[in-house]
Amino acid sequence: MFDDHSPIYRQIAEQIKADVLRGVLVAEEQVMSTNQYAAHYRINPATAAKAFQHLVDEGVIYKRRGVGMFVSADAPTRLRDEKRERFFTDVLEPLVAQARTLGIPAADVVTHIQQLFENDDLGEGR
Amino acid sequence: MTLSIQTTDLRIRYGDTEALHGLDLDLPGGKIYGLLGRNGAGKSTLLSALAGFRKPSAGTVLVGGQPVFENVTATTKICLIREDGWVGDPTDNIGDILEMAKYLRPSWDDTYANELLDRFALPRKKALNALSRGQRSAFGVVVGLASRAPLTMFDEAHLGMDAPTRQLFLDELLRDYLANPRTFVISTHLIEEQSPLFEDVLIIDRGRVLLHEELDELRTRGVSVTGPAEVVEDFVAGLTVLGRQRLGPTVQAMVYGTLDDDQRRRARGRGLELGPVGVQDLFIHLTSAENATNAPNLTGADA
Amino acid sequence: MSRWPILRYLLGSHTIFLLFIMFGVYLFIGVVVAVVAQFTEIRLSGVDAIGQALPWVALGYGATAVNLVATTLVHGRTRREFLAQHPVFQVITTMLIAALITGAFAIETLVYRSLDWQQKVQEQRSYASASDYPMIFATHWGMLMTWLMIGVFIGVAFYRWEAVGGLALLPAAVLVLFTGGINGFFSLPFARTDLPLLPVTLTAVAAAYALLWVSARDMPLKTRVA
Repeated sequence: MFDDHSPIYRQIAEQIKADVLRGVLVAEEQVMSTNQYAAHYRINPATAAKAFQHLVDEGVIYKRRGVGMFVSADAPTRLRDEKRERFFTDVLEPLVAQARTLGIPAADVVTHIQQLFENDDLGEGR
Repeated sequence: MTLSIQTTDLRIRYGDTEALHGLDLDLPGGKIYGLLGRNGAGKSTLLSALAGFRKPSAGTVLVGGQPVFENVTATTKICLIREDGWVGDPTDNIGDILEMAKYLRPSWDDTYANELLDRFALPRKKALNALSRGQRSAFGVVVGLASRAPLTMFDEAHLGMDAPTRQLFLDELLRDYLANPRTFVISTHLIEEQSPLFEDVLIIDRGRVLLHEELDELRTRGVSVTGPAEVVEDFVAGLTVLGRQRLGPTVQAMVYGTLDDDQRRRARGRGLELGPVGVQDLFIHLTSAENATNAPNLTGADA
Repeated sequence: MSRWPILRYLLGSHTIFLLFIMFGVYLFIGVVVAVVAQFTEIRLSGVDAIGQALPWVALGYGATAVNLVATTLVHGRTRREFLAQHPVFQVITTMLIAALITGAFAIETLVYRSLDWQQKVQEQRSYASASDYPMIFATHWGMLMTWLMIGVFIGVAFYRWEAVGGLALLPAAVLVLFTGGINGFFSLPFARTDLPLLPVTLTAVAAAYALLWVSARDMPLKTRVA
């Protein structure tokens, strides 16, 4: 479930964010409690709590006293905006760098990308 | 109820050899601690001293602020299941051993013990010495968990268990920890499998505490630096290098410590590849013979 | 928290078990005597004859008590509690067994008399006849207590010091010979004396307990190989 190489709390936080982005978790939906999460994924409850605190600090989820934790109303849009902002630096820049080292011309890359966009099988939610 | 653990200059000698060389520990209660160490590092000896199974040759052991050895107010709150798995007379059947535990342990939960016996599919009428190694370990887990001792310790409790039983052990431990918080100390060699359960990790090496750290912190503590030998050597000069691997002109150095953004940029600028190091690899390198002298650099408090 | 847990456990399980076994043994003797009587004339007390085996049973059973020390430690109790509670268990249990044996002599007397058999006891015994009940009780109790305590001591010594624990056999032999010369169990001619039974027995038990205490009070628990 979790790899041995980076802090588990960060992996949990990333996973929950990914769930929100893909719509698995929607705005105002209740998320699992720390203890449920710990038991389900066999991790230390303190680690799970740390991940959830991290998400609260980032405004992805919020606490309702005595009820539990919920996805913030603006979390889906906010996460998507953040990802969009970072898309060009995080995804495209390394891609171009790789293409350069391999000697693939820019035109080839662009054509290929266009073809992929026209292909319906690679739709949303993937 | 949970219990803290303190040891000061704890020494244990077996005849002429000293197994623990003045060990200092200060562990707050209520956490799940993972105790790691190579064979012969002193894990079992330490646990035996914490449980009052063995008298310290020197130094003190306090559990919940109380000295442990021959102090019944402390020992009734402590349960250590040793790696040999013998929790009763070998010829007694396991139902009778549970009956005995009920007499001896004030915090014993008999209903829970019987539930666990069913969950681990252990035959009540069988003698302890007629169980397989894995069953004996599972029975140890039953006794340890049902003791509900505020300090419960398992020394290699998984020996001989198959994968599904090991999973059941971790599930039950976590479930009971959530329902009845207490201090757990778990010594293990199955680092990748069991470490997600730990909040803190203790590494014992050659009778000393090498490191005490939050598990999630430890996961960020190692960096591998890969690249041409000269460039790597130049970059890691002055850093704590735990090990090197050479493959032709390329060298991979394992560095202990966190690199700051500046260092990372510098490394990338020189074409070096940076990667994370897993807890298991970190453990292997930290406790390797070549790093014996590095020990004091890793943790200030225990030097 | 309930008090004296080790003692309560022992009385609730071991004592009952031992009494049950002893009861079975004397029933069995009755059967054996009845069978032997078909072939030959009975002159000896069967209950007294089987008594030869009792010290060894007490010793062997006592030697297993070290496992109990280990188990009680595993379940959160202390050596000190064991050293305080096991002797109480020993006194109560040996008294009950001595009473059972005295009762067996009494029943045997009734049966032998009605059949006109001789109920001879071994000449070295401290009791002169099979109907000297106070002495029978005191002798058996003292003998069982001595051998049991020595057995516990020897078991602990071997557990703690392994082969070197064999040295425990020396003081054990002295105590056994000394008391045996008086109570008539394991009675070697050169050791026979006319010293008073109870004071000597109590001294021997106290000595064995002192040896046990020294050996067990800070005994480390061992990890079993296998």
